[in-house]
Amino acid sequence: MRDLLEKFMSIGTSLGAEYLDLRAQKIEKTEVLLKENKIEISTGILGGIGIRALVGGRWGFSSVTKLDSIESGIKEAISMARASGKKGSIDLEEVPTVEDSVTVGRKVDLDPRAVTPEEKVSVLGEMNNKLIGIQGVKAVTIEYLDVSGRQYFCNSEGSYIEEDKTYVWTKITAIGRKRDVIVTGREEIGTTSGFSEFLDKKDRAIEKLGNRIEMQLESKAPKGGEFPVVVGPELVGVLVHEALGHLAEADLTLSGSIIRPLLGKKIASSLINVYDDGTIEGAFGSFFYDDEGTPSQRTQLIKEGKLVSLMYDREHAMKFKRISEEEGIIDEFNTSPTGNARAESYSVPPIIRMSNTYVSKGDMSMEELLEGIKFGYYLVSFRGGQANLDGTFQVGVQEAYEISNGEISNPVRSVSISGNTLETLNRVEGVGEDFHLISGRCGKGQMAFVGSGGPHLKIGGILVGGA
Amino acid sequence: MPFDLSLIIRKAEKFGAKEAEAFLIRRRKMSSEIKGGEIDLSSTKLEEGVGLRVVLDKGRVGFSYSNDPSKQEELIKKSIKVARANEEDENWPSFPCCKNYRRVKNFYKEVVNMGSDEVVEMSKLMLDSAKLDERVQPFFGSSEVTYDFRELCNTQGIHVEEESTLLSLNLSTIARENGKVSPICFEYDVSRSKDVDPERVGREASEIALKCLEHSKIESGEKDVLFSQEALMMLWLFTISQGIKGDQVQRETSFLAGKIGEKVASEKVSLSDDGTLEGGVFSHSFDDEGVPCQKTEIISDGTLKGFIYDHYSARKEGKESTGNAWRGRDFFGEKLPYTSVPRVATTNLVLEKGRKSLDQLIDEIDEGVLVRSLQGAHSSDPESGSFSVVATPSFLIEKGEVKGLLRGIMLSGNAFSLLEKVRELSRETRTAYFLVAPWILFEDVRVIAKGSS
Repeated sequence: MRDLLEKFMSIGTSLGAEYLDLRAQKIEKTEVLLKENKIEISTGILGGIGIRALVGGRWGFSSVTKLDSIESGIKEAISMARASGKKGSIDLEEVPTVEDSVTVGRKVDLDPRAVTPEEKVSVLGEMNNKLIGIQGVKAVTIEYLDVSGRQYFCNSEGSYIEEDKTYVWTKITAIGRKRDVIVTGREEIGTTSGFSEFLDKKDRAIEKLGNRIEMQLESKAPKGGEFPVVVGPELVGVLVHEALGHLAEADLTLSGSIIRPLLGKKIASSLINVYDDGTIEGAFGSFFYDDEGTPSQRTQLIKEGKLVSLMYDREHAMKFKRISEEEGIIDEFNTSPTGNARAESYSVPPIIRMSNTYVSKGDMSMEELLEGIKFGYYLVSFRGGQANLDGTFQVGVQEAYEISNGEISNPVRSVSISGNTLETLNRVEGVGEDFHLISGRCGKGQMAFVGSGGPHLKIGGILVGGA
Repeated sequence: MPFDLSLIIRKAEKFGAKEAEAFLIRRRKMSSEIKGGEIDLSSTKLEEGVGLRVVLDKGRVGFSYSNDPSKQEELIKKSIKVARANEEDENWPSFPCCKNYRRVKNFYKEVVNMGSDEVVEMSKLMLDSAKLDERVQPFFGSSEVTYDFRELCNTQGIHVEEESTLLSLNLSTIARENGKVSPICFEYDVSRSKDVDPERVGREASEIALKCLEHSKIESGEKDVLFSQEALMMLWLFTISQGIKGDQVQRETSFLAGKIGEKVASEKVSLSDDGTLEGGVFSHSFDDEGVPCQKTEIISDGTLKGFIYDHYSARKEGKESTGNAWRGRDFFGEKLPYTSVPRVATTNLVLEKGRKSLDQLIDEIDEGVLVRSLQGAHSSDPESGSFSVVATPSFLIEKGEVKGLLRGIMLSGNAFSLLEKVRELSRETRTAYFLVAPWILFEDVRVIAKGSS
């Protein structure tokens, strides 16, 4: 494959590309959907090549599905870049050239391709039966997906990387009903360590979900208004991903995110440290190299409340290097590529995406976090979330409790929280001593597997909306 | 060697399948993307692949897909292997049979013939007209042209094909002035033909953002809330459009289950699913199982009339499919249609318009909220319909006039019970993704404003 891809590099540069990269992929997928005891199974093989050319400071991209179309694809990508107009402003920050061949997950235990469809169906069937047996659970849906594949990356600077990736992901949704009350709960399991890891984690997920449904059926609606809250690791993860993470993706920062004028400045309580880390063994958002050949790394985004880096691809690292020089941003502010350029598949160009994003742990116990809250909410698990570049966010909560006089009490349902990210980060009053990462999927036009999490946090006030 | 669907299904039978269905899509997409106020990347994508469903004895179904035409035999073997792992299904009705098709006009040669320069030009026009006011920064957007060739062939005798085109534009903007920043404002246009207006998209995306620089306030409480088509689409995408699916109703996971013939909405509400709608973005001659598209009444003058079905869910009740089997309609990222089995989904969901103009509607509101878009609608509960969302951008309506931006307000309630609180519908309609609708005025919607409870 290497010889084949490398010979196209000179064709691209002779046609006027300042930079060219090719990503050839072969992906195998198995999906199982178990819904209402009915099973759908699908398997597929997809192959293709994504071609990216930088010409005159503008990107052209094309994707083709056959090796013998690569040359026409390169021409297409170059002509698309030219059509975009006269001199553009795109320039790439330098990264070392790499020659490597790696496997993500480092020690994949049981490749899902080696597990028969029959075995997968039987495992999911058992999970379904366990959940259905729990009182109050009326319907169960289990979505299972495994993706295995190899990517061959080659660029005109001399990098050549082969990378194997294996993802196993499951989402379990249960609907509970008691008289007129209908509640929905869900759990996700995701791993880059293979099918065995999924087998290890499934029982715990079923148990958690079953408990949640039972409890939610007995819960009441929350009061609307602003209240102090204690937020669990799962919800801290979604807040740090949705509310802060997206603002710190350099393309979005440049596109009007509220943190654009705050580079190198204090934006959060000094108790807060935030990282994006693609190197955590087995975590769902981990990988060796991003989709432009930059190694993944552990990037500190917030250091004691101060914004010290964004997440970059090569294009935006260069843009922010210039901005940082022009505006005299503090030296501590990082503008080197962070290995966050990711593409869902060969058919789309890489864009800046998170890997595993989290708040690092502090030193407070749960009792200390709850102490002094006369009335508030303990927010455990989320249903979905969204954030706006102006710094507002909204997160739906599927598991929550009242806090009264420093103690966790009645369960509440249909809670959602909203607020302003910076205000919220500044109102963090305590950071727990625990730590937990969860697996999820993130949509930004393209789908990416990510991890997120943190410790428990105490936040002075957050807007709680209820049905 | 190209994909040959007739050959594939014949071979599948030879390999032991009782029935087979092959679906092909060939897609060519050209787009010009805007990022950070300039044209950042232009692209072309070529995709062609086949999804194959086979059925063994007793309704055991298997599905496999591939985009490699040199491995058609492997594809057949894989789908049979998958079917063997599946359980029996006594409800399996066999694939649909051939019907009469009415051709829908959804293909325009002029769109196929568009060159990269023309696509890029549309992005430039959007950018230029948005940038006319220097307080506005257009930062995200795209112009995109899609050509699809769909072909479907099954062992019941269906063999159909269709070409379609789609042109879509969108632009997001932010406005800034004296330290004030607007929320993201979004405008779009979409058409099967070349009938789109990039300058209007740019101009309106800019005007809305500027309007957001004025701020207003409102107290929490039950208010009149006027939804734009975009806001309504977002709310309904995760609630109403799920609840009208025949399979959800059969599972009793729809709020509307068992309510046919009952009044479920204000008499002003008439709703249908129309896959044959002229100019409709989701109009086709046949669905992804080869069943002709049609118009299906859902709610008529407030009374629930019916649901939408694919072939499987329809036959389960002894009904005929309503032509609502679609592939690749995933909320996450871009899923190629041939990589998924068909599922029940809406075509064009059409909400009948009212008599009054939008201006009259606004004029009659003493105190209320105009909602352009929502954030967090995907956290709504599809079964119960309960939602709690941020309305952004949204504006105060006071004594018949639209005032400034309301920041950080939330709306909560239930999408199904809101149907009974429809006071008025405008006579102006618009397409927002799958929804074709007027502006809609709901009364007594719970509004939660920051700083009050």
